[in-house]
Amino acid sequence: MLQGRELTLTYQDGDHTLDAVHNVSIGIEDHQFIGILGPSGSGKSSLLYLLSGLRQPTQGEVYLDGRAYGKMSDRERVALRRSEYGFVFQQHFLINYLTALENVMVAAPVQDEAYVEQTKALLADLGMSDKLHRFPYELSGGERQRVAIARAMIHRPRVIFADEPTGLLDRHTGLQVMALLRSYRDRGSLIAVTHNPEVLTEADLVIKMRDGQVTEIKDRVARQTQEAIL
Amino acid sequence: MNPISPFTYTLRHKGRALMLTALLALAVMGLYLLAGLFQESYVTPDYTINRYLSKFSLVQPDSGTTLDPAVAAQIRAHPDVAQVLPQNNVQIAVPNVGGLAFYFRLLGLHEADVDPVLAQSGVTLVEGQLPQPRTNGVALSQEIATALDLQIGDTFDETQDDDNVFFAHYADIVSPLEVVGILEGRVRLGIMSYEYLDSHERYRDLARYGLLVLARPGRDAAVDDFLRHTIRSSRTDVYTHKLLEEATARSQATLYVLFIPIMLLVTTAVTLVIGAINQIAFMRRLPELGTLHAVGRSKGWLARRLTLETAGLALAGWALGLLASWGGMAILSAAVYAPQGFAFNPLQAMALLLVTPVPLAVIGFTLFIAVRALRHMDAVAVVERGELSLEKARPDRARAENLPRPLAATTFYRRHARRAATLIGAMALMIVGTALLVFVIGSIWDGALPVLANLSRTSRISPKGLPLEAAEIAQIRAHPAVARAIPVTTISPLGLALPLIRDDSPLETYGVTAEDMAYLVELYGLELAEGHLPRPNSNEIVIPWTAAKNRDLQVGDVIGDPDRPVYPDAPTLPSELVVSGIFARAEDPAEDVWLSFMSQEFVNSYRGDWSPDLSLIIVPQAGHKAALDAWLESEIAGERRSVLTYGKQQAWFQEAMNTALFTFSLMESIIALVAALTLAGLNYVFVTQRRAEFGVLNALGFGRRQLVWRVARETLFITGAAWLVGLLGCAVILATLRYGLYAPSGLRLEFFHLTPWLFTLPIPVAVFVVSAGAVSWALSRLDLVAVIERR
Repeated sequence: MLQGRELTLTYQDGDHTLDAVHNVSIGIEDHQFIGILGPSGSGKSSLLYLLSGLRQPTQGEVYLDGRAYGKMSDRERVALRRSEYGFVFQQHFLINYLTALENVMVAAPVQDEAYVEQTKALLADLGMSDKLHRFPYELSGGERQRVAIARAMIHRPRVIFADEPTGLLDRHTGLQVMALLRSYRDRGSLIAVTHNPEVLTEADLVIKMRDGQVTEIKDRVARQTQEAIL
Repeated sequence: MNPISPFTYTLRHKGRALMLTALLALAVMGLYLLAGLFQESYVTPDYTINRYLSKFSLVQPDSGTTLDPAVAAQIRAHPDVAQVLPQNNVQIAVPNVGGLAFYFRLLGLHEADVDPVLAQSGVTLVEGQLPQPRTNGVALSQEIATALDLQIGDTFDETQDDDNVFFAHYADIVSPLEVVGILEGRVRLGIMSYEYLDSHERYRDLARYGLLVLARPGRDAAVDDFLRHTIRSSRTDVYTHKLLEEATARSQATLYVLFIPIMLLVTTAVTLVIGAINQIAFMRRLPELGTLHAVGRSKGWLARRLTLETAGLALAGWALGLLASWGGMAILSAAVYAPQGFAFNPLQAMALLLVTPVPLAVIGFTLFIAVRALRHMDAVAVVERGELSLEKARPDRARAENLPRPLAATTFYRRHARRAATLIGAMALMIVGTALLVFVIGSIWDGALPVLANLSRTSRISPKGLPLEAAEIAQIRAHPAVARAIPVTTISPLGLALPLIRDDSPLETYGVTAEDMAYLVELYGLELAEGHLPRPNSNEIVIPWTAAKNRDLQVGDVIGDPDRPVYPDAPTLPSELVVSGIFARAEDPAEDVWLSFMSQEFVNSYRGDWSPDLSLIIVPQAGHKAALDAWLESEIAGERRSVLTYGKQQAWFQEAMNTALFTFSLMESIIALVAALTLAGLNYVFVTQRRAEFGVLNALGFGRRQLVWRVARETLFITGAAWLVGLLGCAVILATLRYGLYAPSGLRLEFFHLTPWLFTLPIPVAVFVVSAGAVSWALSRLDLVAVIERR
């Protein structure tokens, strides 16, 4: 479904160039949960931005159902993100003058009463039914991230990209948030970037990165086997 | 460098410093130019051309041509009076850049008196010669000659005037005068021969006779005082420097009445905007302020430092604005006003006074904001958490109604009511501030319009120098489009007080036969509200409702009595007149005719005093008005015949209004520019605060164009709302003028003239265009993904 081939993303840093991602190829199937693991500066977020079309690779190409991002116009890529993808960031990036309900509605394909009801139901599923009228600054960190997850899910995207979704949360809340994200696998794929392996235990595939390159790819069976051996 | 000096922040944030300084400078410049040019166009010229009164005074009878000998003897006997010279004079009207004209006396002097008057005035002849006795020569100050476009050898008289009822320069110059000399000096003078005016059959009745009073050295004030308090009476007019200064001060006061609200509105708007920008900056700097407080700087010290930062910029902006204004005024004086004889000093005390509150208000408001922001600052929270959220300080926002369309243009400002109020308030204040002046000018024009109303049904032919002859009248009557030609004598026994105008507007009165009076009354659709029409040979007068209301006159009241004037400065008439009737007010403003009628036989019996010329009122055949007017203008109008037709007068009226409006458009464009840049700057700051929002929306699939469009819609919403509030403000002011100022004077003020309302548009349009442009530019340069990236 989603494929990245020989992806390289180079940043200019004064006179020097830096490959945030170097020659990475990756394929994601429907309903897969992919984890990208690595320390800070390993290029995992950059890879996420490349796969989601937020950044264009310096080299290589990303394909969705065989359609190359590079052949699409900016408007088409923007439209693709709106219809096919959902995003959860480390910071919630909720709009601070909109309520929880309104923040989710921002991503709804149509802003009508039917979607208002769907949004309410979704937030209720996420345990936020009593916080619909609250502004972001009136919510806890975990609650904000739940609203951000609802915003990522409301339009039923094919892929949710999550960039360090638990990075600013305590362990317990982080695990709750990951459980919510994982639940989306019934409807679409999930690609999560993190430096914490604990949140990726349920991932179908874990890709380890360092210095912009993939150092290891393991599926769940391989990881379970390794854990058993250890 | 001292890192905690108030200048450090400014030096490290040059863009912001430049923006605030430029805003202040533009606001100061806009106000200064507006006030300065208005003063030089409409107030100062009257003082400037009559400043000769600082060298000598004039005493004249209120009516008639001869000063009471007892009064003359009293003046001569005063110990502080050095010299008393007989003089007579006629007036001309000198035009200026502002489209107005100011009366200037041509002083008729005996040959022997000319040199002492020139010496006393500090004026010398620089070209040509002084007028010779009994000749029509005139020596004019260079500035007056320039204003009238006259040179040595040129002649001027009433025939050179357009037949414009509002602006006649040479109405009293019934026989040509020739410019023979050019004068130069500290005051402006026009000198001619006493004997010429006295011996000329037509000037003898027109000229005012009196005395020119020269004080002993150092005794000017005493003589001025004596003339004003002892000599001045309802029968004797006195013109002194002190009275001129008082009249100028009254005009100045009118100007203040107009400009103080404008100054307050613009100052408030600029202060609000800069205050909002400062507040945002202070909130962003809370970590810095919290740290400084934590390491031992008091909140008072921090408030002083923040205020001093803005004070430096405000004063710099003020100084720059003044320098730019002086430069602009100097250029305008040299390039526009000097060629018309009205060069001026760019340093204007009144304008300076009006712009001084601008930086002070900004500094004061900044101090208020700084103290308020710091009062709630918890230094520990700041240094612990990095910043203190503004939003958390607003408990009233705890619960909000959910909006089904959160990205609607109204959402942002509904949730940021104070920002919306700041923007709407500032913009509305600026709209009202600039449009107010146009509404006031428009209202003055409104007040004058009924003067023309009678011309919509009839036209008028008046003689210029040469009386109408029987054969000529017969020729006009014979024209197939003429239904009737009615001979009338025209006088002006009353003046109407128009709001905000110093000089009264003369009420035109027709002296007609009883038969013609009845005919004209019916023709103009006039109906008596009370009393009766004047009887033949009686001293009765019928006046319009407006005049009765304006001067508080009732049927039976007597006008023209010097001992019981119906209003201060009412003219003394050759004979007292009794109000015999009052016309009802027309329901339709367009039908309102300001005319009064008297017995022609009675007026003629005072021909020597009133010196009325016979005019002809031309009544057209039904449906032939336009054709008849065209014929009158092409065949009758000329050097010796003045033809007043509605179309031409209306066109002149419109032209004069357009000139005034053009002047105001230029002035408003300065304020609109200030408003646009100021509010666009503020909007830009507001938008840049929302970078994260735009970044995440872009990530979620909203393209750059959609984001720009959304901001444009938000800006449109806020400017539209401000425009509506501005309109409401204008309507309130207009209603106040209408019911508070005009209605009590018996005058109408129209609400629905389109032009003044159009003047409310430039500011919101400019703000929208500049604001949307600046934000679009900023968004086009913003790396939206970088906002949400964690690199």
